[in-house]
Amino acid sequence: MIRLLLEGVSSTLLPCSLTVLVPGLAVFAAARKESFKAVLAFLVALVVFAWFPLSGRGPALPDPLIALAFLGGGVLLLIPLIRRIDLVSMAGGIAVAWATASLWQPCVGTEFGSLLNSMPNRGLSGFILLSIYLAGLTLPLSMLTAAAELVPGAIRSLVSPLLAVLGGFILAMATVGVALGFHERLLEQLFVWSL
Amino acid sequence: MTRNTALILFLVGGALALVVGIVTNRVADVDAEVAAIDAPAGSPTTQTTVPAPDFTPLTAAPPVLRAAPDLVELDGWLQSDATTLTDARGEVTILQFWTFACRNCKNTLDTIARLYDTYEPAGLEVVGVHAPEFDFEADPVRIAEAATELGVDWQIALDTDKTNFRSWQEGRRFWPRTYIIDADGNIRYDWIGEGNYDELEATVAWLLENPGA
Repeated sequence: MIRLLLEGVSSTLLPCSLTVLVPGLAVFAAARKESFKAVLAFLVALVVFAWFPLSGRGPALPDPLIALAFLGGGVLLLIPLIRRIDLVSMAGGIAVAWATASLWQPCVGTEFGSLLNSMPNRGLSGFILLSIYLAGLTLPLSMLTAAAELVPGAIRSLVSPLLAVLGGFILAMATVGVALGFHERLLEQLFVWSL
Repeated sequence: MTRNTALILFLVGGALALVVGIVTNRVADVDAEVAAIDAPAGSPTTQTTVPAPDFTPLTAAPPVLRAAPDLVELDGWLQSDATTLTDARGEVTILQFWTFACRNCKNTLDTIARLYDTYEPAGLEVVGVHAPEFDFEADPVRIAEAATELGVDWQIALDTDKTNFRSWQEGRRFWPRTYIIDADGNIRYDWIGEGNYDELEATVAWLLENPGA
């Protein structure tokens, strides 16, 4: 399990993880004061929604629904004036996670490969092992979210409008990219920048 | 323990894990660089760095998983005169879906190169089905250059539109994915990702020693 976690951590540095980390970053940014709960919801939902297609127990979302999930997630995360904004932000994180899990094309190293090959025959253990791998892969996002909690409220309030714009922009680009079929080009550009 | 203390502990632990992850990656890269430096000039690094492992022979025939579909709607072949998969196959064939910028695909090439060198005289053929993830990987000139650089001297089928990548891998699709096809055109091995090299070699050896079984 430790090796699986570390393979996830080392995969976080690879371009194939951008599909997960960039929408996660958008959730963090767009949710502003509720980023902790929204990112937590995003991470839990990511494991659930990734488990179905990876274990062969369900299909990934088709592109039109992925675009819709990005759009819905973005709207929920950015709605400024409603009650119980924490629950709405969590719902936004879940919607973005659903879209993200459907787009994710993982790097398959030795440990994760072993898991994927056996996953159709595994039940709960496959789900737990996938969550361990994804915990490693999304570690920078978790650390960023934890670090933000330590920042004083006044500073957070100052930068939160900028973060909202950034998160909204990323989710808007993801929505349009998937809807119009050029999201792979966007990923390719991120891939090139990351080299 | 206060919430802030827990967060700080998490950050410290996370930073430690990230460092280990980075070091792990760096060690792998340094190993590759050292192998490249150690390799004689002009020779592919892949063929000089991997010691032949002692694999555990299979005790029973590998199961027939399904009949291998043909490769269709290809953009052509590199390093081959074949026009169909049937033309390209040997007594035993390793067929791998890969793309040249995929790190995990590259990590498998050493082993495949060694198996090709070892078992080609006995009838092994290797077909790398190149299914690009990104547009820049679709250029045949770049693919040929990458093949030379990576020591890929076996047949390459160009699956630019990923037609075969999708049809062979129903539902779950990954780079790399490695199959072994027997002399009768049946898939006898199917593995997602890196690793499992012991069983890969054992299956190749068994099928070459037991033709028609």
